[in-house]
Amino acid sequence: MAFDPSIYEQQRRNLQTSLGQQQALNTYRRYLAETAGQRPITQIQEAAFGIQKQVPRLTANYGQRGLQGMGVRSGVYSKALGDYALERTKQLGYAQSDLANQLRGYDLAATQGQESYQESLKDIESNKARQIAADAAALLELR
Amino acid sequence: MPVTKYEPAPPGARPKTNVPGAGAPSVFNPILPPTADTPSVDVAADFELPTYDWSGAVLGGGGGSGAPASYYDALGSARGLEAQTASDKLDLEIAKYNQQQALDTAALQRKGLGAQEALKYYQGQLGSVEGGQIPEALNTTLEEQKAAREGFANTTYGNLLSRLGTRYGEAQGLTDEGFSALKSYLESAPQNAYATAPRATAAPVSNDIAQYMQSQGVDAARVQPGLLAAQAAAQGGAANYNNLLTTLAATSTQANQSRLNEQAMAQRLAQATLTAQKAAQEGALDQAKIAQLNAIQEQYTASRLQLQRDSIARENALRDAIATLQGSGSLNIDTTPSTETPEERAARIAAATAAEKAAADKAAAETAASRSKAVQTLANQVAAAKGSNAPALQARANAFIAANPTATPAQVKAEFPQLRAAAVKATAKKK
Repeated sequence: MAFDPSIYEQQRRNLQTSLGQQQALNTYRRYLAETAGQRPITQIQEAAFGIQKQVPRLTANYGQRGLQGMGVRSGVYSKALGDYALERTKQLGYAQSDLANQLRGYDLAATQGQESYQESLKDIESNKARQIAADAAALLELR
Repeated sequence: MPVTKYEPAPPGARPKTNVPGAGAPSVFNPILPPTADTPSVDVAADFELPTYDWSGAVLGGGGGSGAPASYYDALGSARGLEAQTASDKLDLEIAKYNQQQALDTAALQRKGLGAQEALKYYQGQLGSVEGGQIPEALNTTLEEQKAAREGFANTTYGNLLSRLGTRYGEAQGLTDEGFSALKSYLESAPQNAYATAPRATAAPVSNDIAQYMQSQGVDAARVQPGLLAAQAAAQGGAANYNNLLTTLAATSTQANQSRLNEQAMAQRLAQATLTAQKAAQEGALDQAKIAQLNAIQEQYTASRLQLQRDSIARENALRDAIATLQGSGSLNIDTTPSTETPEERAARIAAATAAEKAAADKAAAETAASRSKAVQTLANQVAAAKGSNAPALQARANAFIAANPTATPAQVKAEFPQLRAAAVKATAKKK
């Protein structure tokens, strides 16, 4: 009956602990997701002029066939390079969007954790106020 | 105290002074030894009724006139001595009677005064209880007790009510403090997480090989559709995310407002509960106070009724006592204080005694005068022998006296010859 605020402090500490654990786990998962999501982006980016040398090979291929070179500007080469760049840009954008969306999921989870924590704190405060009111009524009943 | 009145003086109880034997020895005139020139007569030897001892009686001469003229004169003289003694006894009885009367009068006056005092006392008492009224002292005590008990009940009620008010104020304060803290927390708490969460922005998409394309003579605009598609995807994702956050933030804001409303309702409900509790307890206190005051009033009424019953009983008892007193006649006794001095009183008694004696003497003298000496002597003898063991002889003597008031000594002696023999016999018996 008697008002005991320590129980609410205990609940608050438990909430903070849970929040910390949940946020830590979520942050770690976000980190893993970011790492994993960044990898295809990097691969796409490096594929053009990296070890795969997709662009130089494409140009060299059309150059060997006389469709590209000094003073030569063939429409076939232009179309092939344009299509490559178009597709590369699209895939790269999609990969970046996918990564961003996935990371937003973790951000949302963190926000939900925060919101849940705040709501739980409000619940505690509400319970505290009700308990105070009940104790006051009990005190009055004792007269 | 009843007064025993003496019987009427016997006729001839006091002899006349002119008869033989007057001045004979009595309590006032002591018997003296006979002298030579006054020869004595032995009356007992001649005439005596039974049970009367005349053997020691020696009569002197009558009135200094020498020896009795005859036997009957001597007899008369002897009877005169007896009459003198009777007369002295009569004097004493009259004095005693008068004295007793005076004492009785005084006692009666005291009785009358006592009755008057009792009446005054009863009437004084009656005044305080008449009509069932309660004596002032008891009434005052009763009223004081009632006032004290009512005061105690009211004071206790006031104290409890005050204490209840204090407790109510404290409970109200605690309740308000708790809910105010909650309201303050809800209002001042950080914005909800959705509202403060960073909004997403679409990352720009670029063609990082555009420069190479230009160097190869390829138009970079060929990449534009891919750029648009990638940007659309990125912007779509960011927009959806932001919309989601906005929706969640609005929901959270509504939830917080709901909490605030809930807090206000809970606070009002708590206040209403406290008010109801206070009202209930005030009602209980009122009931207790009413019950207490009612009990006090009932006890007061019961006590008052009992006192009135007692008062009425007392009044009836006093009225009965007054009625008894009035019916006894004691109140009609003349209690006027006597102004008579002791000397006056003694003189009055003496005068009354003398008057009575004179009247008795007169009657006796008249009777004796109407008789001859012999008859009178016989009558004296018969009177002195009252209660003797010869009632027939006495009756016969009385009848003779009535029929022959002037009989001579010879006639008397002839009529009663046995008197001589009886006297001789009685004398011999005594010896």
